[in-house]
Amino acid sequence: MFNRRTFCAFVTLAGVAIAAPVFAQTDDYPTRPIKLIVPYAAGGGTDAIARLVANGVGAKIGQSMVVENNGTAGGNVASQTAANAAADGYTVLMANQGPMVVNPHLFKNMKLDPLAAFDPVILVAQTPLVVVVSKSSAYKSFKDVVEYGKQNAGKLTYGSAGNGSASHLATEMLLTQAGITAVHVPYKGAGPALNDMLGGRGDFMITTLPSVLGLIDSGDMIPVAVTTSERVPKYKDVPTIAESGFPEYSSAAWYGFVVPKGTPGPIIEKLRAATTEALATSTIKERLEADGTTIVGNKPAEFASMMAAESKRWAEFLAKTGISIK
Amino acid sequence: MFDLLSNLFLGFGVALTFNNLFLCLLGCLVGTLVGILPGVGPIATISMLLPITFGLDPVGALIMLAGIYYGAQYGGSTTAILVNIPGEATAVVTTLDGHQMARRGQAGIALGIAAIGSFLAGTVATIVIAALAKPLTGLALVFGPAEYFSLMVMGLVFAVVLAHGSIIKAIAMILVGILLSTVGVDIETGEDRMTLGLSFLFDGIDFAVLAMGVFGIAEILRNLDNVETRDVVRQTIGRLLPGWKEFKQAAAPITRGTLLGSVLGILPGNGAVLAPFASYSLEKKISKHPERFGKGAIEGVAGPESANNAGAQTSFIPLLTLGIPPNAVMALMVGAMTIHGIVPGPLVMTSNPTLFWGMIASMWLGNLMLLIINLPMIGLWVRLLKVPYQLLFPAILMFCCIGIFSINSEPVQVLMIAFFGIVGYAISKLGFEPAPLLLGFVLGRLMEENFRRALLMSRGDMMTFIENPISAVLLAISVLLLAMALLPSLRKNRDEVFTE
Repeated sequence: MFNRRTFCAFVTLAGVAIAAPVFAQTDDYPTRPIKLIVPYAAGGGTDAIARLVANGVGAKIGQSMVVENNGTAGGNVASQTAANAAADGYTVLMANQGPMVVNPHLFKNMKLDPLAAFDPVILVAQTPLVVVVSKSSAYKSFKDVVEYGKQNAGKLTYGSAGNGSASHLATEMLLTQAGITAVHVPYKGAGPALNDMLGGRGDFMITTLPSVLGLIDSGDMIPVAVTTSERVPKYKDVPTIAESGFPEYSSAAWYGFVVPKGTPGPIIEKLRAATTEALATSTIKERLEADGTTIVGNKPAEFASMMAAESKRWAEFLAKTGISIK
Repeated sequence: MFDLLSNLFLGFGVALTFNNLFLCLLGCLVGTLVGILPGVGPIATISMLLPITFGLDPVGALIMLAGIYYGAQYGGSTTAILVNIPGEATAVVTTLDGHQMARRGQAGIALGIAAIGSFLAGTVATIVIAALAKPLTGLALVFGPAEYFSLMVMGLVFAVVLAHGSIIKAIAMILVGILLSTVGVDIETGEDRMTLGLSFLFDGIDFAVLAMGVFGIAEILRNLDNVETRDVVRQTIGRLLPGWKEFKQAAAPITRGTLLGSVLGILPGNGAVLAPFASYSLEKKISKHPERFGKGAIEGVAGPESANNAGAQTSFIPLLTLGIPPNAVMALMVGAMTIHGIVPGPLVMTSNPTLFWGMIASMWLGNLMLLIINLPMIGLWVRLLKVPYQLLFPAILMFCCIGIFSINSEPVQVLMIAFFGIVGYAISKLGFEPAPLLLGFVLGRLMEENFRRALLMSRGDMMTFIENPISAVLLAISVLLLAMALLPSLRKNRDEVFTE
């Protein structure tokens, strides 16, 4: 009576019965608050953008979007937590350069492949990094720094926001292309590093534009180049690294949303639509653009191919330079 | 001078609006509450409340967040005095004499002098910020890794003075503290150290976990060991407010503590954390009766509490004038500013004068509110000591667990406070003290980071610590202090200073 075939049919039916509420839920999603996991500590640049956008998305989608920070182990713990969460659209991960495309090649013991574990939703925004020197520095231009570095191997000192941070890697990429050796002094976050650059204890630093904006506007730090392939509208006179003799060079910090693999398509689309709407509101637009951040808001497929290309680029670079974290 | 007055006038105009007064009060109340609850610190609270401030105007939002920060400093000392649990590094010193005063039935006086000292220090520090913020940024910039390293060395020498038992045991505890601070990922190479492969140790041991374990849990274990001493605390409550005699005793320590705290708070490398330790050591050094310290000396509460609050206020200087946050709470304030569309940096003062001066005026108002909130509350807090201990300790345990869990939602950390509790109990049974351990832990991390940064910058040349004049002076003071403790000719003197 109860042979294998009926048993299989039973299991299939049961499976459908269990899965049914999930499908039913896609229509009225979201019915409860959505969690946005941020792979950095509260108070940083990424956190500020996450909270600003989360607030806007919450208003558009009709449920609040709650930010949860976990900066442990370079953001890898946050990735792991998000990857293990149910693929129901109630857990969203803030996707950044470090945890998504750099860490898998940087951390020797990372088990997770972020590109396989998540479905992309939208690339929210991009922010350029800038090469800055102190106003009292002897270097007046990007060329000055590079020339000095080329002639005096190992004499340059640069600060970074931390080992493996966007700030560190963008500098290493420049140094590799220019054939310069310089001493890296890592800090915990851009602020303390900038303090030492201001005090004249380091030669230059590459850092995200929002982290140094106040000091640039006051004239205490001088931007000598930007890392993006195009110039930044806010500082039209500042050249890009690419046009200053390194055409291959381009680097930017970026902020996107991804969800655990297997999240239903309609839910991803709802999230994407709400985020796009939120990004169009004047408050969010103005605040992000005032920081020199560019709003993107693209399609999941575009975001996916961009991350794949970035991941490949960093894998090759890190393999070549041998930079790693055990 | 006229500028200052007109600026302060502008500031009070902003801070005294009904809305901002209310937000200031709200911030102070929330701050007091999270300060009192062990574990729940201002960092967790401010990050949770950040989204709520979206709807507010930026000045109001920052006034409230600042209120939480310094309100928590007031609240933290209450817990340190009453139940011997320092919620933050800066409250560790308050436990030494504050809790002893409570045990001797002077809890009300300790709480009162802490509140009054904090208010006076807060007032002076606010004036310092208003009048000298701009010129003082220069001081922040001359302090580099070499200077911070030497400052931390000096701090460790203070830690030796902190101990009121054996000097050898104190040094042993400091070294254990430094060792514990090196657990976790190496900032320079990214290598993980002494983590035993456990992922929750990757970012090191959390201060709150260690402090709550070796102080809080260990204290509960000690009390359960010996029920009679608790009964003494319960029966003798004594006067509630400090009298004229206590004021006279505390006046000079409050002044010195305020000065020390104001100066150390300006340093963006978290110099404020040293302030209470430095003040305590100074008071013990210059006291005619150093043997009273550690047994409930009022100077040991008044000085450090004033230094702590002055440091908390002046640590806004690097934030407001450079946009550089000196500690995790200030980093959150940077986040709050960014969210509200204000670019933290040297221009805040000129581009947002209402924000800058409004915040400064609100700090003084907030300190006044905290004094008014805290003084009548003393009676209530002291009565808490009358609660039978078998009811009190499960409550403290529960609050500790909730507090720790709220930091990272990591159940492992709750287990870790249990572990450190047993460790703390064991070391106190062996005659070691937890305070030098915690100071070693706090300073060890800063010391190592700055030592290595200084050597990176000097390309490995140790002379960098002597060639920098500020660093050299700080090291010379440390050597002098140590020599005074160790030279045989001064041995008798040393025994008086360091032992009971």
